[in-house]
Amino acid sequence: MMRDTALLLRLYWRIDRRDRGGLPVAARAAYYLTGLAFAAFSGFLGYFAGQLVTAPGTPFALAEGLVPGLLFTLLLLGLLFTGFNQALAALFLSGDLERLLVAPVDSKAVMTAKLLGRLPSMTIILLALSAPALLTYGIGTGMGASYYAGGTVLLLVSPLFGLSVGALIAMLLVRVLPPRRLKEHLGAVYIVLGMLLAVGIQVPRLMGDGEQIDPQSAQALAGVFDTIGQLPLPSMWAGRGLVELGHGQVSLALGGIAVYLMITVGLFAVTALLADRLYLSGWLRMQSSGMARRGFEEGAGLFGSSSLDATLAFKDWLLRLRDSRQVATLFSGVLVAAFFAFIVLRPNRDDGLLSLSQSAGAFPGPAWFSALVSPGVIVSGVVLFAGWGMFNRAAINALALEGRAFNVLKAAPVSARQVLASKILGVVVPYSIVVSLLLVAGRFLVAYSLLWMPYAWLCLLIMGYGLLTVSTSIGSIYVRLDWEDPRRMTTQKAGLYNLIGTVTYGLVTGVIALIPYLLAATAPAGTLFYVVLGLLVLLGVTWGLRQWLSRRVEMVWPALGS
Amino acid sequence: MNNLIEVRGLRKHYGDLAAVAGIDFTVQAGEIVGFLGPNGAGKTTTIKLLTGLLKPDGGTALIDGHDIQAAPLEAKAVIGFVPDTPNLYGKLKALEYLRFMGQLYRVPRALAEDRIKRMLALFDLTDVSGNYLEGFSHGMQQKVAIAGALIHDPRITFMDEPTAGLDPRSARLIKDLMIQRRDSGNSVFFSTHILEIAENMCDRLIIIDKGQLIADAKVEELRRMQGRDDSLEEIFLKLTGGSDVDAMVQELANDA
Repeated sequence: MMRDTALLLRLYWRIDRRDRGGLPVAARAAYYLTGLAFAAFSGFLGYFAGQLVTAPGTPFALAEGLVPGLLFTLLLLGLLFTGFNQALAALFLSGDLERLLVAPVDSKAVMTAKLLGRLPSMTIILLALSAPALLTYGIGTGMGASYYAGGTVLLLVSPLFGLSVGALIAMLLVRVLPPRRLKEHLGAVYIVLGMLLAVGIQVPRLMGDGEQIDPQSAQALAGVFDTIGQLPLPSMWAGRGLVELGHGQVSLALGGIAVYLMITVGLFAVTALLADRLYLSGWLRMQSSGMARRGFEEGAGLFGSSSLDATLAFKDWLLRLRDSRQVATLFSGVLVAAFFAFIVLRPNRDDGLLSLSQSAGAFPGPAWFSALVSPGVIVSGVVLFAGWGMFNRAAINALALEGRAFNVLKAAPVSARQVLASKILGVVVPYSIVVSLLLVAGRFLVAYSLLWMPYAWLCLLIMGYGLLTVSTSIGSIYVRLDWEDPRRMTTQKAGLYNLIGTVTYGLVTGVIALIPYLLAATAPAGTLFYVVLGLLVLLGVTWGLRQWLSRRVEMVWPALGS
Repeated sequence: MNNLIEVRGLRKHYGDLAAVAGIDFTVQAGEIVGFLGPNGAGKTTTIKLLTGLLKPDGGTALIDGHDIQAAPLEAKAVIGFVPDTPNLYGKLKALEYLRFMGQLYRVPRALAEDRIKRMLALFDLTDVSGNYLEGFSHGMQQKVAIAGALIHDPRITFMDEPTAGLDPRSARLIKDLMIQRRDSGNSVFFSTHILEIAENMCDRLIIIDKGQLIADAKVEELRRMQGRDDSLEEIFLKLTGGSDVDAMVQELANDA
């Protein structure tokens, strides 16, 4: 068995290395730089936590063992997700397991090698993210040498926990859901968690008053952490044990560390031993469940529409709403938009942009300045950003949504220009509905000139159309049609060029849209003329951009999907 | 005769490799033409060039009189295409996919519904037509792809390995459909590795190897040209340089 395991591990680890090494130089450099940045941040957090815990007279009194315990707990949670994903890919979506299981190779060797196939990558990521924090925490709290030795052992053993528990969960879940559906849901969870994390990090900074935390609050917070520390989790015991080891209390330390090691290694051993049986019974369940047969359904919905644009857009929305990963991406857009709107409007806060704008009239200054920061302008800006934020991702990924079925479209008598038009229509229609509702809702929230509302509404529709045209077109030019991960439906260039394109278009058209409003503030007699002229210029710029981008998409179209 | 496909000097290179090295041929209305060649000979590339999925480096391909590059929409409107791998929209139901294809090819709604019902019945898919395509086996997806390609009653049907992965009943059905299309004055241009199908079904065979056309004739003419009463398999192996296969297998057996 050992020989077979070693043979297979050499193969998988070589594949793992090639997967990591197959990137272009620039992407690899960016990959390493990002890793370094994360490592530096992790190191900073560890040192900061060490200083916080040991600072004399700190109101934030925490047990020393809590920080490594929390670190191990978070680490294990992360590893659990990774291990689940790895097990799902290696056991159910790889395609080579059946071939290996019929070969004259010990099935336990196959399972062990499958589970450990991505161990090198996981260990590297783990070391980059956790080791710096553990190291600097030790420095910050003045630990002895045994702390670092013990920490290294605990870190290196940790992936076994994630791999084993993740694999067990995966093998149980495939009895209920098909592996591909599970993988989709896992992708959706990643997207939502990533977004929540990104937003969550901003909350304390943006919501706080900039004041020092008071001692009572600090003590209460420390109490919460202490309660977490008392939870009967092996990772917490390991954290406490490690700190005791660092202080030379070896006999006290060994208990916690030994339990952690035994559970981790034991779980992996049990998983490797049971994996072949669990895999086969799960596989049998998958085969026997079959699919519920659903027969002919009358009524064609929008597929019976006379408009090809509507048909294509309807098809896209079916694809989006039936894929949990796409739904998660849409939800993330809504979350960002809502968060941004809340931060700008910040009800009951004096330092919110809206509050500042409402008091702008109180400051001495030219009339155009007061107009520029008037509530109507601020609300319109927020509505534009919120609407664009909700549908930006859907626009960038619109063509990529075709995936490997793209050739169905390419072989059909439909031009690149028409496909692009339908993709834009598919995001602009819901955008228009959303911004119209938000603009009306904004009027209830903040009083601004009703006379200017139609102008604001038209500007929002035109600018939204332009912004979403930029995103859809750039996403089409830099599309990836063989995507598996919905976060990589376009190339990296798409993100960069979309940012440049939308910011440039947004600034230019934003200025064009504001000029009539500002001119009207200084010379009200010509208001109607300014408004009509402003809208015509806005339309002209957007139409020109649309033509240029359509031409660009037409140029790349022949090479797409080939 | 009415040429539905007219290919002149068609070329396509991938880097230094000439996947299609300047080929010429025609396909007439009411013909089933088999497109044969070893793996990597350029069959799929040629079909992709003829259906407008790839842009050629040179030469022209006229589809029912329309240049596939200069007038792609007119040319594509008369084409039905079944690729070698049925990459469909997994999140659509079979019925939705067929309705979508009907719309894509501008088939009037009532006519499309009628054809969809008949196709589903023909391919034994009616009772799973409300199921998502991602849950279908390869063979079932292939059948949906074929149904989708025929929904607009195309003048020319391109099929890349159409019977791969199909059960005998479905494979027979495809063959019958091909004959029916030929008899109604349309043409079928398909690639296959199953020489028995090619021999029995095709009015003419075009053989390609290393991107070059090495034969374009009826089976009987091929036999006559080779000067013997060989099977199509023998003729194919001689033309494509695979006639030493027997010797190689014997050598392998001796080694064992």
